[in-house]
Amino acid sequence: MAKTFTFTIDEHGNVESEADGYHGSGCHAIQDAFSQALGGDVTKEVRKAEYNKPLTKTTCIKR
Amino acid sequence: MSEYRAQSTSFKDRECLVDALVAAGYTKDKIEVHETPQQLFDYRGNATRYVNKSGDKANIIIRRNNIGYGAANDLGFLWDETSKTYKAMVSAYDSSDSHWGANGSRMKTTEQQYAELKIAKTAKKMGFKYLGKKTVNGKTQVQYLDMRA
Repeated sequence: MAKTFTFTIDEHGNVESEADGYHGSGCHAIQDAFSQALGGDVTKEVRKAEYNKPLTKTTCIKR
Repeated sequence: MSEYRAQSTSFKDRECLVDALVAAGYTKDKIEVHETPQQLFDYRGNATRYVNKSGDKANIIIRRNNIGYGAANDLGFLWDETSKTYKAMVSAYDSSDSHWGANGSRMKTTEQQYAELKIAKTAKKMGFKYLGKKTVNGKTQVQYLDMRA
């Protein structure tokens, strides 16, 4: 699944960001990087179900 | 969706702030950028002292004659070393909702454009690919693809 970030910016420059397609804490560091760049205060943070969902296990077979 | 976050934005990036002012309708040649803060002036050419008794100064300045609506004073953004942000220096006369007040159209355009430009700059630095932009209920929505995985 593609990993995407969607940012919604209101007229005062307040930003809502949504990370899609990530599992575990992978997106947290990226959120932090954007938050630091924008420089304001984080007013809300919600971790969705996928945050704690384990990665799908795959097996590679060499022929 | 893995995570959702909401936050405010502060003017920290000089390049993005200047570009946001351009997006708000000012040409680059009308925007002064100074490493050392410079004096702001009123419509009579006198140094303003609204905020600072020794004279109001700013690093990024649009002079009164270039603001575009008969502004009373120069407009500026002063770098604050403590908060590491640029603070808007707007006189009370120019702080109406139609101009540079907190709810003024020009201030709102600058704030929204700044956030969009800063996100774009950060996303590019992180190797993200721009997917598109649309307007939803008056808000700007931009999307990026994480190419790093």
